[in-house]
Amino acid sequence: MDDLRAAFFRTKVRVKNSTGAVIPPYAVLRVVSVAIANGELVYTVAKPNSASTDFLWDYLVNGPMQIGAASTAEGWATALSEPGYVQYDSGSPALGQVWGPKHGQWGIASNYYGFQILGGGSAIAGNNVIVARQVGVHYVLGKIDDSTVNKGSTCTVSVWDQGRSADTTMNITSVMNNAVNLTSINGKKCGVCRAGSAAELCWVECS
Amino acid sequence: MSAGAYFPGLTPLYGEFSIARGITPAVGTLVCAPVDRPSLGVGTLRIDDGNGGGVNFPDCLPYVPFLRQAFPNTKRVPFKTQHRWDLTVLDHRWRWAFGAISGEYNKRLADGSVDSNVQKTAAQLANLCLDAMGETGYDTSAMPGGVYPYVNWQNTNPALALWELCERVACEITGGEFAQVRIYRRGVGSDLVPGPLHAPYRFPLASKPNKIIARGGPTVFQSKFKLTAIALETDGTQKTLNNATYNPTWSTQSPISFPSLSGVTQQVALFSVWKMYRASAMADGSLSVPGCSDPVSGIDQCFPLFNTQVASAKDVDGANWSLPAYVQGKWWPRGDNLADTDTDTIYTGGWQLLADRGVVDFDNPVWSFVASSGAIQEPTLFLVASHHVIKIDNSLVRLERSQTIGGNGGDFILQRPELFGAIRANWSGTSLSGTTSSLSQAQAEADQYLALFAASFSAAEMDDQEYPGIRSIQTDGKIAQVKYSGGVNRPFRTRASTYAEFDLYSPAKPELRRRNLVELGKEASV
Repeated sequence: MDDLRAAFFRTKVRVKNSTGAVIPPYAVLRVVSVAIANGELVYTVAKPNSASTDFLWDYLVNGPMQIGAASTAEGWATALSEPGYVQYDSGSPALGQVWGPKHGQWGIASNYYGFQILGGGSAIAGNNVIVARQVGVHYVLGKIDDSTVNKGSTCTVSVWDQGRSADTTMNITSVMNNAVNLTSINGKKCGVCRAGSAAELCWVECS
Repeated sequence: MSAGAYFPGLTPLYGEFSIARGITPAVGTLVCAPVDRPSLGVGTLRIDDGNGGGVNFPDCLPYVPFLRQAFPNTKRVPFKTQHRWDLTVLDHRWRWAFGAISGEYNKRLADGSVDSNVQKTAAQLANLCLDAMGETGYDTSAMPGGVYPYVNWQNTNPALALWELCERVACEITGGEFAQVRIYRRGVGSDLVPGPLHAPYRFPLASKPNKIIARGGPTVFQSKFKLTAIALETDGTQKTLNNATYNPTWSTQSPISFPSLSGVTQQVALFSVWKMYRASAMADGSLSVPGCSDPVSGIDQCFPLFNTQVASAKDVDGANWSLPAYVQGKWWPRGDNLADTDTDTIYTGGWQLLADRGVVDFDNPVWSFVASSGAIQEPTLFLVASHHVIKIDNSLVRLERSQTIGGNGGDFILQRPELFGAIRANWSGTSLSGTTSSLSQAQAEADQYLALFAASFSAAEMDDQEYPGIRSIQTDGKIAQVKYSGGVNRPFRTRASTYAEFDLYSPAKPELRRRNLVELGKEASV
């Protein structure tokens, strides 16, 4: 396995396809699980939120190789912490914008979260790609799904896009309320901050 | 000076000295009265006929005496004692048994041309030997030009080195008996003047070959080989990818983990697939080697390959070094997108050549992507390297030139392995644009050797003449042996022969040659 430890591959991780379909180059990948195989970490990946509406804070991005549909098919991916290509769905990503994974598709979407656009749009293997860097998500906009959330309790938040124009249909569960008891707040706008491995309400719209 | 043989410290009654060409000292005999523990040293031997004819041999060594019974008071040997000495004396060439010379000259570059840093003409090489032998006043100006014999002397006796050099360029070493070495081309020299003592009885030598062949080294070809990806089976057998017994769908198989394989199969796949490529044909897919007129029906006629090209360049110290073989082509350079390199890009990563079967083993896997999908595919790779070509009779394609001289004998082979041609195929992508060859310069040098030896065999005729008195006759490219004799009650005579030695008691040239070759530790060759 020396090649995996070669300089080129130190920033790459092995990924295994659990979708049963071909994963195209530069697709955004949702991590399902991780295991050790032949001394190497192997991440089982799938399409973003295709089986779940849960919002994820971090994703992987497939490399240039198409990953086959077989249950044993593997490829390699990165966290795109350095600039690199990632697929996008449509539109015109521009320098400075933030796009992000959208459930049910391989490419990032406008007004979603996590990837800063750096430019250099192109088409590779029949897909739109753009140069971007995964900057991480520390804060999202949303609306609270519960009516009452007491201090010290958690709630579920529907994540909205950055432009507040649409519900992403992705939810963050177990968002902590560390402020005051909240009542009649179903549908109120809020901001959710990432606190380590957890999430908490950092502001809530008052009526 | 009165007639007689003279040597310091002795009063010889009779002397004879038989001189042949080469490096072996002549052995003279002085007949004299024995003396207990004479004080003798190196000195000049002179034979004088008392009538103005005489010859001096400087720096002779009194060697060993042979005690024989004499017949006192006879007219022939008027000894007062009952014994005599036949004292052997060696000429100046006794000193040539000593000394050493080292050096490597006329080494060839990868294209067969002589490395100018170590280039020496035959005369220059001879001068080095003669200097190492302690000789001065020598003359090597008649040695041939246009040939550059390869020598690699490692503490070699310089006289033997000189002899071997002269054998290779059909020259004769003369004048050693006078400490005035002069090297002649074989067959070039003076004819003997007919003597008054008998009619001429010349003998045409029948040992002339029919043909002289200069056999050079194998021709070096530089080719651009198409590389084909291979996979090893678990027993090491090579297969093309599609023929491997564990053939998964390579296009969707991660080349860095081969996840559908396991165990030893996975290990050999990681070891070989996309890492090992075999030279399978020329760049255009054919098997014909550009510049080679011999048929090539299998690529292994080109194996083993060499790690070098036929070109050389200067290194930091100004010495010549052969340029290394290289890989070029079109592959995914691990860039940020699926694009391959440009066509015929030189591969700068690590690889090694498994030369015996023409396999390039990359340090890291090399592949290409299908641009429309990102599927894995075989890259387009070539290896540019030099090699020989094995003919269908299993001999190597090599330089060989010949000249028919029409004698009774067979082929006279001149082994000249340092002479070889280099033929470089010039490609533009997969199209052959021509060849660049150095074969003609190697052929020219080989032809020069043929001319030298053909001249040495021309009109070879032994003439054996005897003259009254002592005449100073020098050996040369024709005159092979001269003998001087005379003394008290013995007539003074000079005898000489051309092309062959007449003296049965002196080793003939073939025997001297054999002895020299044994000294050099070599098999008989020219």
